[in-house]
Amino acid sequence: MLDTLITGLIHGNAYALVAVGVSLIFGVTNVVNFAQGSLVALGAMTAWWLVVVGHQPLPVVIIGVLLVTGAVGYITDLFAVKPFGKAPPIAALLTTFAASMILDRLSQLVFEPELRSFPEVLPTTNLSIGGVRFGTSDVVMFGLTLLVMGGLAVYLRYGRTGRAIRATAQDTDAAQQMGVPVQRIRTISFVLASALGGLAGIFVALYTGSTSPTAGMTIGLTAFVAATIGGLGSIPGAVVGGFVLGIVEAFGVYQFGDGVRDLITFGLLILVLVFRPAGLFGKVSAIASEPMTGTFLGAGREIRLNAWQWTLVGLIAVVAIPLLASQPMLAVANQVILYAIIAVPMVLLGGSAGQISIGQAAPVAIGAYTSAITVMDLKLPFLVGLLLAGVVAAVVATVLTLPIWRLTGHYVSIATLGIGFVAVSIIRNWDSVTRGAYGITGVPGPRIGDLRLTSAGDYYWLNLAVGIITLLVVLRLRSSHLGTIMASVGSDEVAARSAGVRTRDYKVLAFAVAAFFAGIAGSLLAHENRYLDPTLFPILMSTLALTIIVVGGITSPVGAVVGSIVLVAVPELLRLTPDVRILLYGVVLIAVIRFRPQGLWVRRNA
Amino acid sequence: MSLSRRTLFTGSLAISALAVAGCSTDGATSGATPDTSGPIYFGVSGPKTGVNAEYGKAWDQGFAIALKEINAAGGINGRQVALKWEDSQADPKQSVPIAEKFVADTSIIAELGDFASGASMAASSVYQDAKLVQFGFTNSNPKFTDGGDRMWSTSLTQEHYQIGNVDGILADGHKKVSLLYLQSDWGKTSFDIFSARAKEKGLEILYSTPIQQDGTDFRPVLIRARDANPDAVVHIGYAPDGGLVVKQLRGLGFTKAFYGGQITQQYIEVGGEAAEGTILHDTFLVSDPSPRVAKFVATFRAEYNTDPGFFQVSAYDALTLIVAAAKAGGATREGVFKGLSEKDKKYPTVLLGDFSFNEQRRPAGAPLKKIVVKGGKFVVG
Repeated sequence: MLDTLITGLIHGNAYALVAVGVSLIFGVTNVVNFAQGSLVALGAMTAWWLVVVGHQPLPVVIIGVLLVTGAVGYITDLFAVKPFGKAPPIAALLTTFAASMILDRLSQLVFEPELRSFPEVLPTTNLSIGGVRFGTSDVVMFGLTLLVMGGLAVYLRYGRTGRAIRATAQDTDAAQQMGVPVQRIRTISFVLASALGGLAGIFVALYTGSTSPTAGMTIGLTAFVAATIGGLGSIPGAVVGGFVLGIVEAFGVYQFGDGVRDLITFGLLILVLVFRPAGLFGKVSAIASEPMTGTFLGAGREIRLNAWQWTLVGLIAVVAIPLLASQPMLAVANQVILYAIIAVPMVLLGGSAGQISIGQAAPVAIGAYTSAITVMDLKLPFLVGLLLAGVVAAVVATVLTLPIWRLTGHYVSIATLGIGFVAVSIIRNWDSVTRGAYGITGVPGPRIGDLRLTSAGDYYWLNLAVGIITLLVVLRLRSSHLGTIMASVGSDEVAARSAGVRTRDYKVLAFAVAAFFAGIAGSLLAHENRYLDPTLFPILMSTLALTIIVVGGITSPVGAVVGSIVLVAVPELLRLTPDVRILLYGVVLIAVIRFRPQGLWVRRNA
Repeated sequence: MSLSRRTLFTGSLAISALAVAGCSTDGATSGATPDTSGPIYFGVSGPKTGVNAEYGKAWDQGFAIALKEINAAGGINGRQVALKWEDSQADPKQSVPIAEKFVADTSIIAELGDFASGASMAASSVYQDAKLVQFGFTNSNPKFTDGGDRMWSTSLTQEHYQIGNVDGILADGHKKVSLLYLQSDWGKTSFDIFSARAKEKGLEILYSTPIQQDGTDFRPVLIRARDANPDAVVHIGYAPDGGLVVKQLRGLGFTKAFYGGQITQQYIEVGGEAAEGTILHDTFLVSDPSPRVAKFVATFRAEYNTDPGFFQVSAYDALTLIVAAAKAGGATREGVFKGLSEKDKKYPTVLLGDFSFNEQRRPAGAPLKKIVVKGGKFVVG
């Protein structure tokens, strides 16, 4: 009992220290910084290098880590955050995500990919309470957390720059008018938080006894959850959130095993948000903030194709590709269409209703499993499985997300992120129905009546048909009366509510439609891959779907198709250089959002 | 302005579609006239990035040594041997398009990999349909070779390993264990075999839990494992998680036997002091005095300045063996299959000595050794 508590406290301390950085940046810049975890991992790798390769003493190591992560933080800010200061929040959300991909990959190239032992620059097992050995390192880490929390509190309260930071956080425009150099303050906070992240990296690595260049993703996400539980923007909240998460995880994992760790972490996140919509220490802003997507309606108009252009596109899809493409290229084309089926209806949610989902992998997974189980265990025909996949995905995902639509701003997207993890974790642990981590092999191929589809070329026709139906349904919905109401929710929620629109219900409806088609795509994926396991639905699937609609133009269904051609087909064609594939992908993502923020398929109003 | 841009986008759409179509024609034309003088290619589907990137790196080292030796000795009938690598991240979603690519590329006469059984098995039907040999040399899942007669493996099955493991633990006089296994297809299948054998032979499992491969803090489940008061703690997993498990387990004051980890330098490096005394049941050992092992270890050390691990040796053996098969049966897809199918043919391997395939296209008979970590090295216990 005591030992589990102590374990939880120490682990929670590590979360807390990282979460402080996340919360600091959010408080000042209103940016959810996905790259924070990468900076933590980079700090740990730099420390490893300085000790093991450079044989430097601890003070030099700490200074070195602060300098390196501070500098990298500055560069990250320069390219991935600063240019998007005036853009809607979703821009920086995706660019910091791209930055984290770039940083992890670069670190992997510089330091080699493997997990390695972290040198004991401070003793890690020289003390003991209740049978748990811990070390000076843990005590120092605890002291550091308190120091950082206290130091920041004093600095933000009394320091000149600190007060400027708070002013900027409270009201950017007012601060600017009062002569606060807002941009410089933002940069300073970002560098400060990055250096802090690097320092945290040393202690996190000391605690786990290991480090690797790719450890950042897990650390970042968990710290992000801790910061959200505490209330984004609140420094004491981040510390409390970290400890709460550490302790709940320790007891939960002790009781139910390590297999349900994700379920505990993200389940706690959603539970907290249901009861405290802005986290434990956060305050719900009285005035509804601008939606995550900004008011895109004024930002531009969709590019429209005329009759002969549509004919050309049609000819390419129906004649050229099936005739000329080889099996591998058809497989790529199928991936493109599947992602388009997921992304196109997200336009209703993101573009019209102004809500961001980073959890679309959840309905895809639910649909895939529903369909496979329907066809394999219930012996029903494929088309029934396909339809059920959509219905079950829509119903289950909607029920799971029902409590989150009253949340505002970033909390909605964070909650959907949580849903993505919770759904996959349930599938992984529900062996009796889903076969869990074993995966399902031998999922039968799609079969319509007596027609069996077996090759990538056959699948192409099926996917194309479903894709076209999806596109037509979404285009029709958008131009209908219902679509106009949905759009009113996204463009001005307060006005919509004043006009008697039940905004929450329309958000739910938009999500349900998107989940329905995601489920359908999941069914196609299951029967065409002939194989299913929980690792097929990672967070990257959700972020990719979101990126597709942003790159294509968040208000444009046709743009979503263009987006999936660019983001799914191009990386496949870039496979020639796997080492730089991920790097290029990140760079392209930042560049598109920087230079064509309204999306590829949307023209700016002149 | 708006018109030109519109045209531009339609154009780009058309171009990307043509690019998709265009690549296919390349594959088709090269397929029509097989090249008989250039290099002979083997496709490799394996992880170069992602969580399993380090294993792809290990393969690369083993392959490189094998390639050097094979090509110095004249390749296959005077033609050089080369590899076509595709990064799958050991992900079943990515291994299928790679399989389709390899199948379409007729210069490839056999495929090596994938790293994970799941990723291999997802692609098996593609290889089987095209009659291209899929040589899943690290796929210990017994179901892998059930995929068809083109699925071959030099890897011992999980049954082989876990039965040897249970019997070894009992032979050491232990009666009760706590057990941690990876929450993956491989981990759970191994665990099922382990528990079935344990039940049959009277080894009691007091506590068991799945663990995550990329986990960093295993203390909560290790406290539970320790408090069950077992004779030994067993870990079924890989080197990085094994190293952390043993480190954290010893940090919780557990002093009795630990069975687990993996025979790689990385396990010793991550586990450090705590890895001392770890017991494993496996086949390969760097300190094995047999001349073939000694020669390989010496070559490897000269090249990379470190000891080879299991995956480097497996990769070396796999490529050497499949080249020998191609020499015997002919440097074509059918030839490789014919060569492998030759009854009772013996292949010299580093890992499993003089090697031959059994009916299941798996290694025939290979006893496991008891190996102990002593002084930072793996020695026969």
